[in-house]
Amino acid sequence: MLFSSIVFLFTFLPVILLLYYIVPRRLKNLVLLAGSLVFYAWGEPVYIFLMVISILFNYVCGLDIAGNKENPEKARRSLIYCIVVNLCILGFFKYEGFLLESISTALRIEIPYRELPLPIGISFYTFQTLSYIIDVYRGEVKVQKNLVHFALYVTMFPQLIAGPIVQYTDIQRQLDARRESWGKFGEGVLFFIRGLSKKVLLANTIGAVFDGIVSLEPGQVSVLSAWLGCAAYMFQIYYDFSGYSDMAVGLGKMFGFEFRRNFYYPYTAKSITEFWRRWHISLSTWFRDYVYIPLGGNRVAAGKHVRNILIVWMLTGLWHGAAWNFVIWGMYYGLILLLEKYALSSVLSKLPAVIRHLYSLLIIMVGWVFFFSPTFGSAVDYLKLMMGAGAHGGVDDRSVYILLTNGVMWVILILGSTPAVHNIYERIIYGKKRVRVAVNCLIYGGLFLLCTAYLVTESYNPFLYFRF
Amino acid sequence: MDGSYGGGSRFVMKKHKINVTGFLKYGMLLVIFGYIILLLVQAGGDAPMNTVKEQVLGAVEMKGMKAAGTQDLKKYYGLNANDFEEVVLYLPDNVMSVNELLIIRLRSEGQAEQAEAAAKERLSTQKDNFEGYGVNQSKLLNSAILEGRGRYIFLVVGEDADKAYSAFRKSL
Repeated sequence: MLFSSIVFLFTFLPVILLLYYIVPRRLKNLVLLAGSLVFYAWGEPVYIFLMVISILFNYVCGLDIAGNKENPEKARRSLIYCIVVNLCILGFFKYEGFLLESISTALRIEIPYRELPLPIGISFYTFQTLSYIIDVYRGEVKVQKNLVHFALYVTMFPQLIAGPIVQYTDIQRQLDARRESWGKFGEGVLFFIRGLSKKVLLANTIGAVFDGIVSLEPGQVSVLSAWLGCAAYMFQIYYDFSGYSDMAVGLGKMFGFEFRRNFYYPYTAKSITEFWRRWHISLSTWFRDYVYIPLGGNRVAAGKHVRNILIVWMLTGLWHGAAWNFVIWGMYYGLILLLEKYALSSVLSKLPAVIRHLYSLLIIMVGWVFFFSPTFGSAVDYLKLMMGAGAHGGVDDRSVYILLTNGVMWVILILGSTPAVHNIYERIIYGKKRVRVAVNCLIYGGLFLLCTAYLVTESYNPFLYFRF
Repeated sequence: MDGSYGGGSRFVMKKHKINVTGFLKYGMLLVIFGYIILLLVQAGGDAPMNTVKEQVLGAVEMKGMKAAGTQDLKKYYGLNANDFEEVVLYLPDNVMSVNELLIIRLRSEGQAEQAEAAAKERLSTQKDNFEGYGVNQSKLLNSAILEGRGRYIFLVVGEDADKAYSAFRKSL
């Protein structure tokens, strides 16, 4: 089920909210768990069993690890067993085809295999359960003995299928005791509508521009069109994914939870290091806490640090998709981060802010080409078009038309990706409680109606990050 | 004596508990393993698109339709080809034809619902277009076949719909 669908907005959400608020406190987690399972089963009926058995498996492993606290060797073996099983399940569903095809290509033999559809959200919920298991082993969290609470942590529908990846340490207390309030609920509604608007009004609209450009025949694409296509995707993926994250945070608040923010104006970054502190923060944090630091982080010799960075970024690329272009995309960022760390930082710090910003945007745009292209070869072809090789001139009528007919949209997209709009809005209504309520109702109510109107006519608008 | 008995009992209980979780974690791996085998056996619907396309196109005469591209998929179905693994689309080649073929290979099963809804919507629009004046067209549209199977969504409209469907089933 999509957040941006009529059935979710007008049936599922009102029913689950109503049930949640009328049942006694001790049943609230159970209601939320049942709702989350229905939410998942709506789109993935076959894989609901996989999710349930995965929950039971990790729940039992958590108990086993905690039960062996006085026998560290046994606890370690149990941890390794649990991690291996979780990664094998993820690997089987997500990487089987990629692995076997790569082997087939390398050895020039045909390996027959049957690839199952990817269970939606498997990358997200596997990482969540791993964070729990590892933290139980490290003694950083108490083992969760309540199966309903643990199952809710894994399945909670606001963040189940596209994150943010919630670490157990951030949520353990909230599972046992949290407070709902009208203030928090209202804040959640605002977050949700903001996210919905980002997705429906901005990401979908600019996504159509991107689709139009990439479906052009190669000989019809000018240099400007190629850059506009890349910029369109850059904005589409930002508004799509950050919109989903805002909706997740908002829904969490409606049910009394607080999730950490997943995006912080990433396109305002003045270096790639800064960009990755602002983009998909929950994933970067996960890799930092469970891969990078255990490998030694940056408190090791330079050679090992380079190795650590490249391992983390290869895994980050692979996490996003089972294809070589994702591996290359990950390694591309790994290498740039290393360059910034060891060579460019002193140069960059002397440059004017605007140049550093342009440098970051250029690197980010090139990165998105690897991300949206189906293969490495097609990414190289697209980059060639951006550089003018094989392009239909520098600027043609079509590219000018695309630029001008979407002129207002480009301005909105650029301004909306900076904190400027939000800050100005907050400043205007700051301190005037009644005005704030009235203006919020008017603006957010209007945005919600507009989104609904769009959704009624749109038949299909999946989130880009669902495929991961 | 009582005290030492009590301590021993707790010890026995604790040991028993550890054994239970130890047993369960291995037992569950077997359940997961069995479940995946079951999925593989039952899945079907995972033949490569080239095989499916070849067999379906080979089984029917492609009269009254022509190959269409990603923009047509967006225009008539509201779907983005990039969201799916592969798409084969043939649309009517003239205004009075309703012959159509759509085969979508999904990236994940979660896409099935939306893709199928889009195909139903397209079918419904076509039925509205021909209702009342295109008797043959309406008949063909009413006997259109739309099915989701494994990783595929399949839609066919035309005189050879049954043949195409049969070839589709066999190809999986």
